[in-house]
Amino acid sequence: MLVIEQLSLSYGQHQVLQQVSLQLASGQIGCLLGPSGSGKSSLLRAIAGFEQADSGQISLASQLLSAPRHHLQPQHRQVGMVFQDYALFPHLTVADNIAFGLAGQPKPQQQQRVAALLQLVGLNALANRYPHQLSGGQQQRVALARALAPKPRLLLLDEPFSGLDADLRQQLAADVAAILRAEQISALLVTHDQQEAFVLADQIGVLSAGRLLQWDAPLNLYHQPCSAEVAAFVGDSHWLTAKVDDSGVAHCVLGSQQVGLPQGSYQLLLRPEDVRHDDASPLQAKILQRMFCGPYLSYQLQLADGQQLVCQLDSHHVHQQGEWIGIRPALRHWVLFKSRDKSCS
Amino acid sequence: MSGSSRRTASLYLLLCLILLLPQLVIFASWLSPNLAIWQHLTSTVLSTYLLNSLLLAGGTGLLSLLLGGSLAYLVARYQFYGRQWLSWALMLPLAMPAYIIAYSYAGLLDVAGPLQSALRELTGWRYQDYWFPPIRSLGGAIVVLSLVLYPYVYLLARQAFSSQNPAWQEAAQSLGGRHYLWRVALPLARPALLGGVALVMMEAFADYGTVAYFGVPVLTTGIFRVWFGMGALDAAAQLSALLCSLVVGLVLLEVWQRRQQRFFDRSSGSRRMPLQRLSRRRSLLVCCYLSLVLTLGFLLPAGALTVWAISASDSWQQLAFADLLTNSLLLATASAGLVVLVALVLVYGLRQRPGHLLHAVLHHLLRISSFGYAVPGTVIAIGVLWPFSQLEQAVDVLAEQWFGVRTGLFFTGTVLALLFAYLIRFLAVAVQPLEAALGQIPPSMDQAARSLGCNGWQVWWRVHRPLLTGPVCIAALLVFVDVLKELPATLLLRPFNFDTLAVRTFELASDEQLAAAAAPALIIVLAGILPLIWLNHTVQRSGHAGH
Repeated sequence: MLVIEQLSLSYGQHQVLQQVSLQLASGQIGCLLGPSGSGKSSLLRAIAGFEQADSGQISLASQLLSAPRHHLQPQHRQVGMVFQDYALFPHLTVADNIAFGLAGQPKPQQQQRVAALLQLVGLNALANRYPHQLSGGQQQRVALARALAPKPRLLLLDEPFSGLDADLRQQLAADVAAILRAEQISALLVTHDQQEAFVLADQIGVLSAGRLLQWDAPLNLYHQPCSAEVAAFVGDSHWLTAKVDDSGVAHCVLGSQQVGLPQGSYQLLLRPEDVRHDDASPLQAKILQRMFCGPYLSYQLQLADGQQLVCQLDSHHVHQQGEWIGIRPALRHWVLFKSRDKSCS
Repeated sequence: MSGSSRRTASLYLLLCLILLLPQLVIFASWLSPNLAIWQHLTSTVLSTYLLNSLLLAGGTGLLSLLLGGSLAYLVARYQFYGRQWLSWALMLPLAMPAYIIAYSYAGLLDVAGPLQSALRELTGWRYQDYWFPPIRSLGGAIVVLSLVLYPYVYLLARQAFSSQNPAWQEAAQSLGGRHYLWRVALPLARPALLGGVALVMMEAFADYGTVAYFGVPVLTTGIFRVWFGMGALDAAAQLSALLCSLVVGLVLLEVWQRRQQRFFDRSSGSRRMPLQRLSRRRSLLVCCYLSLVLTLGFLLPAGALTVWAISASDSWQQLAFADLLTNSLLLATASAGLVVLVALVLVYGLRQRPGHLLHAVLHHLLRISSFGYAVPGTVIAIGVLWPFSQLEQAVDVLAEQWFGVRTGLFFTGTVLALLFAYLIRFLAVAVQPLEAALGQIPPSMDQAARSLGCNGWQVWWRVHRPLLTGPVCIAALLVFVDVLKELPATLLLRPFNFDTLAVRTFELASDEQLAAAAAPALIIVLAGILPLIWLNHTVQRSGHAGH
């Protein structure tokens, strides 16, 4: 289990991580999401031991890796890393790259492990090629195999798919998840692609300006974000104004719901799938814009009071711009935030 | 900053000071100018020295621009007979040190040379009956220097022309523009052309062998005269400072042009300019022009040297050839080792993240330290000679007072001074390939090795060492050849009775024993071809990578 407590890190005057705490159970895959410069990579590098934290501590399987005045050198951490640029050794073949971290083990054992990993990443035929003779996707697999070879207790992946085409990305992401689960290795992955995070992760963290805003399962993160910032960053979000009365009931144009929040004015989070089209509904909205997105049509709608929202319809259901159509709310739970304030419901 | 990194930084600071010592000494010499000698110089020869140096550099720059620029444009744009071979062979004059081509041409064109003899035989004229362009003149020096220095312009301009985006030409055509050469190609290649000219002019300012042999009084020969003739080391240093300032101006110009080049290169696409076919006649004409330049710059002088060397094969014994060769090879090998070692240390210093102020200062100092290549050998030699001869005197006096031992010229009287001068002069030659190689190893590669269980030393041994072996060999080869060719610093700093191939060649040629000088000269030229083969190899490889 990876445990990070109150970790802070700065480069000179510049604070890159502030009081970050998280836990990742062994065998699980965690994902760090966030805009660039939010500190995702720095957190990874602190765990790997390439950066020394100012305060807080990191421990892995009950072993202390990093604490004030204690810094275990990277080579002693048994933490593997897959780099964004892969960092394959250009003077070594694929097989030798994979065997790099096995130095000191008997030769036959090394060969066996290399063969097993080549099998795992599907590169048996390319064992004697050099990195520059491989495609981007192949290099990525070699980097993964090389990091996995010494059986690390934790694998860190820094934007591992960012240099690849969209098609290849999805395929590789699924493959990597399968391999990690097969090897039963915990992994922490940095990405700025939400879809990738949703597909791969057991736990997702959202970082912004060095703070970990939420660390949660993907489903919770999407449906019950703990702040407007997280809601805005993860998935599409739209907002309607809502009022909560003295009995804890929230009211908005879509209806009312008991939420148990103190009286006041709030913003209601709407995901695109929270609004359905229904010709019979008395609630009408005007079509401002229509976008064809392949499997569905996305309509930008305006309510009578001027508030805007988005509704997705199946892609044969064509209405014209300026038309009024009926909509009906389909919210499972109401997520409300005090105007520019955070609170969960 | 931790204690150990502060210690490393101060060691680097010390290294920088040592590497900059000659240049600092040269400029510091003006703090107490030798007025007596300067009065003499200004009233007699100084204006001649200065004017001749400027004319020599300017003339050589202009002629090299015309030669190198035109050759580069033809090779980059047109398909003609022998293009493939000629485009490489046009670099060959780089292998020919200027003092060697100078005396080859003097041998060919002098009154007693084969050309004038044939002319007299043919016409029946006698000496002084006719006018023949004198090779031993400023004009002769300009022509001869241009013939071996034009490749600097040629190489840079060829790269600039052939990497120009073909879309530019298509755009010019679609806009109805003719005059593509004058309105697009040349303005775009201007940074490369001027950068090449700056390099040529630096070499021309630094030249000693050619002008000394032709008897043209310039600043470099003036420095020799002031030191050897008047024994005034301080005045020689002050004259060196003057020469050095001229060169610094050129360095700044070159650096500035290189920045511009980067700006121009940005828009070039991956497509290559297609070669234009020429009619048979024009193709032949272009081929003749290129062959003529190649012949004058390399084939003719090299051929003459070969003929002379064979004709004088009985005099080889007299040369103490084995000694010369041993001296030269040992010196070149030792300097190559020393220079590469220091270059490695320096390059690793440059790799540090410049986070702290001290590191930033250090970074700039290390950069400046590697500019020694631009400083003329004569200037470096004086800059080494002056401080160390004073140090030696002081040590000698003290040692005799305290221990009753005389230490003598332990530095300037031995090869140590020579090695130090080579280190400063050729450090940049080794720094360049090593820095490029180290730049190919991103920090993530070190970290990958770390995360796979390597400690710092193992990272170096298992990742850096194998990746640097090739570049280290190349850097050593480049320095080796440059040391073999070097003349002025070797002449000034060599220990008594210590001869090298270059020194002996120059001395024999100066004594008009042209035939005897041919064999050592030929060895220097042949060695000079080695780096060109490597250069061609890398140019071709980078060309393929570009496709």
